[in-house]
Amino acid sequence: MVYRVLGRALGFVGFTVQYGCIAHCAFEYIGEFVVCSGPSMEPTITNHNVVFSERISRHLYRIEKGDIVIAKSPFNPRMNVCKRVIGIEGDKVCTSEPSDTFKTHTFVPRGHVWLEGDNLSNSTDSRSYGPVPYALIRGRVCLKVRKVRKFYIMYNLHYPYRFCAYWWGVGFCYLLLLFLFAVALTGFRRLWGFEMVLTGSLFDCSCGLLIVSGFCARVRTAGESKPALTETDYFIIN
Amino acid sequence: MAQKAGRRYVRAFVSGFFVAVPVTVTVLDRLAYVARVDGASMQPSLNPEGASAPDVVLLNHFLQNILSPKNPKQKIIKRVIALEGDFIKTLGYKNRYLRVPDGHLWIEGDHHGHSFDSNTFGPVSLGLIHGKASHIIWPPNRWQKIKPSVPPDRRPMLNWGESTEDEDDDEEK
Repeated sequence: MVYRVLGRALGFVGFTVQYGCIAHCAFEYIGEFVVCSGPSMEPTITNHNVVFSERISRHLYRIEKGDIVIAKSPFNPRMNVCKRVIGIEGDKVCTSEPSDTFKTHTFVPRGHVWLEGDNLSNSTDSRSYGPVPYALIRGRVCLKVRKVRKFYIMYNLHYPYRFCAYWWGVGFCYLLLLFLFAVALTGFRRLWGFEMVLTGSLFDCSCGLLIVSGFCARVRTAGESKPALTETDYFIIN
Repeated sequence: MAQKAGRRYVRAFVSGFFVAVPVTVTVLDRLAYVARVDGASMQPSLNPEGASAPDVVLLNHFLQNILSPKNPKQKIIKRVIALEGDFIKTLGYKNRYLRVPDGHLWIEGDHHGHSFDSNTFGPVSLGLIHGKASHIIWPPNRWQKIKPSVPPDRRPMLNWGESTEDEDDDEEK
């Protein structure tokens, strides 16, 4: 009796480890959902928007100018920032305010990128802390989740549609969720005939449920928690 | 009959594949990583004989290891000299004295003349750290645990946190 319980427990642990590793690989190498906070990317991404960021471009070194990326903050490795890439290595970027008479420029050094938020008046970005090393970039934001009547849809943030094409991106996300849903709820036996993946047992369903909830709950937050003070704020106080 | 056996083999292979690959990738990312040290920038602590007998180190992900700020595809291994908030005296950097900014580290190779480190590219962000070199595992006569220590002439002048805790990082390819 004890051996049976022990056997089942070990089997459960084994399945959890396997699915956990598959989930880790998916989040690390394919993509994840991110909750963006802060006003620095308005009007493209507003406060508390959920976006889907893909990791493939970053690992293949295919981040280009104009992409919106999620990067680790250079000053706090536990915080993430969501900004647009304005310049890649070798580019000349303008560092002065639009109101200045004399424009100053810098060149982006090798291995770095220049990030700026879309809401230029309310964003701390490379204009304050300088170019950011490429290796701090985590992923490229490609889809945004929006509520249309009663349904959540995802639409592409980039034009022209590149690499993560609209239908590929949306199809992949929905297929992944559908697959996990099938594992968890239907206990579908022998999908493709692979007993290791789906056995229909209770443990498998619960592991699948864990993964689905993990996938939904593991949203990263990106963005500043409070907006940066600008010159107009001082005028209002006075 | 042969077709059924073939199909069983394919099934066994793919199911094993779906177990082995994610588990291996997760272990390499999260737990431990083995890396070979190239170059002379960390002599004499690592690689004392140079290219003829390169050291292999075990990198423990519970602490750090670093991606180069100049080339994101390259990993470099150096010693951490100063943490955020410390004031240090630099060797050949554009500022003679420097306070390490928040969220950054100052790293240096042990072999000062032949080292591409913070004296060239300045303080590095903590987010670039990949893992900490904890043991030398090859060649067998060099099995040892790497002890964190700062050379006495490179200690920071003033530190805000506890006294110098340093780690070795990874290799220059």
